[in-house]
Amino acid sequence: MQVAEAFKHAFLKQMLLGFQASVVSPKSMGFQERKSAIKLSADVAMAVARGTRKWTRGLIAGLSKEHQNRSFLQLILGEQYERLMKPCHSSWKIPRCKKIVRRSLRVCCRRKKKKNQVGVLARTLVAKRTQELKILVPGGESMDGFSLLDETLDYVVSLRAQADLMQSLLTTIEASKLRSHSKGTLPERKASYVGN
Amino acid sequence: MNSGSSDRTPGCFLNQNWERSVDHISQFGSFMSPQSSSELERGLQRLDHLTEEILPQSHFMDSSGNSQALGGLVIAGNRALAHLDQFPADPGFAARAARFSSFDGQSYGWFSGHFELPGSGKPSTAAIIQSLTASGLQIGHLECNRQIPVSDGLQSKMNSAGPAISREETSLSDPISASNAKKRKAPSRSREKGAASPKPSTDPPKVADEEDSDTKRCRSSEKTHEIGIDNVKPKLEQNDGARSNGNDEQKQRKEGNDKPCEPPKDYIHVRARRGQATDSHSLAERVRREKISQRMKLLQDLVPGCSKVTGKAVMLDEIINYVQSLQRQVEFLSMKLATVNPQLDFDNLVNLHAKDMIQLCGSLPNSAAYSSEMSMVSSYADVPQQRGILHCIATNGMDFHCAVNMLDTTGHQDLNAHQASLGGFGDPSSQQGFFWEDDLQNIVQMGIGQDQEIVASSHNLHGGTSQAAQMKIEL
Repeated sequence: MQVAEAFKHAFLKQMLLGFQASVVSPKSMGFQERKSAIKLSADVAMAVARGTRKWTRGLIAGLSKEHQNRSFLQLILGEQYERLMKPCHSSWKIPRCKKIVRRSLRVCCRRKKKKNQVGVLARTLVAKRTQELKILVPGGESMDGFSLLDETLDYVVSLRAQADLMQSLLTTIEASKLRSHSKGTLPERKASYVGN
Repeated sequence: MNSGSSDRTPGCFLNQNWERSVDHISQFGSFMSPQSSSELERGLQRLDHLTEEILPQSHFMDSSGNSQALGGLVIAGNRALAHLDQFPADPGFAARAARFSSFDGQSYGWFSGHFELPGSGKPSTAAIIQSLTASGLQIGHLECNRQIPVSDGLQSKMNSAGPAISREETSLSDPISASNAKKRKAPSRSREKGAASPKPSTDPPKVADEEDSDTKRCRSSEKTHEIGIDNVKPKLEQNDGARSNGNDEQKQRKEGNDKPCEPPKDYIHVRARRGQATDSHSLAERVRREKISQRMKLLQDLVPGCSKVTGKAVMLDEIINYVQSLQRQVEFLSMKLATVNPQLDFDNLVNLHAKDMIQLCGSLPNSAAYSSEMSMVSSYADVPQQRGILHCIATNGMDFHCAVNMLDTTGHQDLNAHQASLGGFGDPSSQQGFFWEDDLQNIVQMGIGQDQEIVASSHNLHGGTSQAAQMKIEL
């Protein structure tokens, strides 16, 4: 597993903070609202804990498009929010790369005219899937092939960590619930522990 | 301490040098501030040389007067024991090592109860390991040495200074640095074997190899604490040379292109392979393709069930499926959390955090280490110890957190005095404060804080002893 423990720690803390900040409580919110608030704080926590990557920026940008999320985001991110909202300038590089790639493709095609059909078919398949991946990965539309794969790698690792963390959070909550039920019936044991 | 007659003369020599070194170390004052790390290195190197020559460590105990010196001794003992692990088994060695590490000052009262001396003088490596890990625990508790963190369950894995360093290894997140460390493992193996050959030990290649690779990994991530082992020092320069990620990537690519190492530059040097076109476009194209294939390989390792698949299109398909399933899983889990949430109140969150630390630690490879530590600590039910343990677990991650968290926070909102007084860790969470629950804040700050913060948060924690007691019980 490539996830650093620090990332998990930061993630968890941010998520708990986010829960508190969004004041997730049963009284004020319905089920759907609660769910979306939890998901929002989880996503923001993941983005914040990971640091500055293209997909984190894309994620936060996508989340801030919804007007209701903006106050929450501003709260969590503070001044970084303004900085993150600035447009990403890395897309300027792409046209130049594409020119060279096209030229080299032409050169390669001239050499390999016989394998044209197979190459074209494979290329279209790859292109279609790349397009799908660009939709899935946040902020993926503005990336070229290589950086898309890089960001996907990072995103997958973080997503997996997010799922694991949420799962463990869930289990601990349930465990603590069980314990709190049993704790009420055994106060004397608690006193003996405290006495230690 | 009564040592053998053969040991007496060198023992006296050791004693004299020891007193000098101990004085040198005891000058550090409150142990292990970063400024003193260089002095510590020198002191430790001297100690290393001393202990390398001479086996018995009884004099460690004779000359240690204060707990600070003891801290130095414990660290030095760690390193010494690391070297001495390769030494022939000494009948009294295990006993002395155990006694040495269990000789603790006032602050480590909890530790002596845990430790057991081996009854017979058998040179069990288990005792050595125990002493090592126990002293490692002490050190972690001292918070003096980030690189010898708390670790208990690695007995099966390591019988050298590995316990300290292998934990660093498992928490390394960067795949590139990990693969780099793997690369460095191979050349080091032969060197370590050569060093270890004169001294028989239980399993020299494995121990030496792991120790070596782990020390190297340790070095690649942390530069401040450099314990000088003579045969590993030359590699240190290697590591420093290939520090940045970009450099490492380029180096790997270059080696794939049959090119020798090149100085770090912005553009990539590529040599054309035999029988291939040499114009710039195809070269650039080839570089691009190799980059992509490298990434695809990494993704292949990551996405389950992709090892047999070849070809870009199918791989991409699998990746897309995996990403979609993960996103759906997150949605589902957030839904479940929403249903559970009504019972969640802030008190529970406080307890929750402590337990989650354990759970998180439990999900890591060396999970047994932390859970056993947690149980050990909880059985003693001492609040400072808990803080120390939590802090230890967190700080080891914090070193990487500094690297990982690239959000350059220019300023910190001083939302309350307590936060402002804390060492200003460049962290978005330090900007929180509107909805801080005091206890949660303490515990979180405990987790992410640095050394001085522990002292600051102790006041608040003593204020909330009931919460802490609850935390104890939950543990």
